[in-house]
Amino acid sequence: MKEPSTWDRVLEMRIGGESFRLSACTQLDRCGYGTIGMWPLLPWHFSECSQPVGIVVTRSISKSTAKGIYPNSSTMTLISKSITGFGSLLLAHACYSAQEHSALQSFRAATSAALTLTPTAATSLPMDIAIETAVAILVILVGLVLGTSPMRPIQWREWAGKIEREGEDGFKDNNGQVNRDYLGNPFAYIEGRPNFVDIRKQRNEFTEWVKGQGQEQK
Amino acid sequence: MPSQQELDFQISPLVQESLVHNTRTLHNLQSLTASLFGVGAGILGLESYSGFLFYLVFSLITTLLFYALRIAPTAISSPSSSSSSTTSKGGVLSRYFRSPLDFWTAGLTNGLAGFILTWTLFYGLVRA
Repeated sequence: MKEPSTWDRVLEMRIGGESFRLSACTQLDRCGYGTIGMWPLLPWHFSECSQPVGIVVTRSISKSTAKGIYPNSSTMTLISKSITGFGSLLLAHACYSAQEHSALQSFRAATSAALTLTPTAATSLPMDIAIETAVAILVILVGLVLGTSPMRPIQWREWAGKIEREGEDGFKDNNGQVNRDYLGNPFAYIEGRPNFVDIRKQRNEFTEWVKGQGQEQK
Repeated sequence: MPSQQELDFQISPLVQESLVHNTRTLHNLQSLTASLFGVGAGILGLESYSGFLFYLVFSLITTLLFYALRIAPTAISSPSSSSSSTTSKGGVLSRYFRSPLDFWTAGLTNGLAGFILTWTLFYGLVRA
């Protein structure tokens, strides 16, 4: 039996005797079914109604699945940094080679002018340096792109669903720190209403905590 | 009577912070890579139009790579965009950016100054 998520609780609250109804049901049909319970559950979407409304079937992705989808951020950072470092080495080498080449060219030109030989035409950059430069840029590019922090959904319902599914894990930057502008569950005020607080669970948690304290004291 | 767009925003509101975060991430990447392209163009000794062409091509490659590595993979994890009418308009891209045109073309102007700066610098350093 899976642990009921907040969504289930919210829906139960609708289905029970004192039912709440989405005041914008057409929008629920339009967005709700497709978006696995990610529709924005705003207070003004609810209004009390006399008869209970039907059950809305939602599906929620468990946390483990959600974690599987998004790769671990710290390994990504390591990969991106090593790729970028390798690319920078290549680029530095290409830069040095090009500089040496042009120095050699000017030296040649000077000596050939002094010896009144036929002036050698200034050859363009050797192909291997050009290729090395292009490859270095592409490699660094891949490294930098891999190092960018993950995008966040701009649609309110998807964003809220992401928080619901992943919590803090979905809002970490590449160093594994939770981002500063992460505000947490936007439904906290709905869940925190006294009527919907799971008092038994909290009581159990408190008892556990007290027991833990007692053991630590001994 | 509110317009259609206002109604759309009321039905599916946007998260401003996410929007800013996405745009800033892309912008940072583009200004960073633009100066990198300047280094490349300087090493290759490109001049006038070929240098700008180089910049154009590589900044498009940047955006493409960003799309391929950062945006496209998330399409698998979200079954949302297929069925709802509001998100399916622009595909995966519309999950993260408001207008696709901005996404593809903003990079050209974002990094141009940085590109020219490092381009001239490295051109001078290498050809001195």
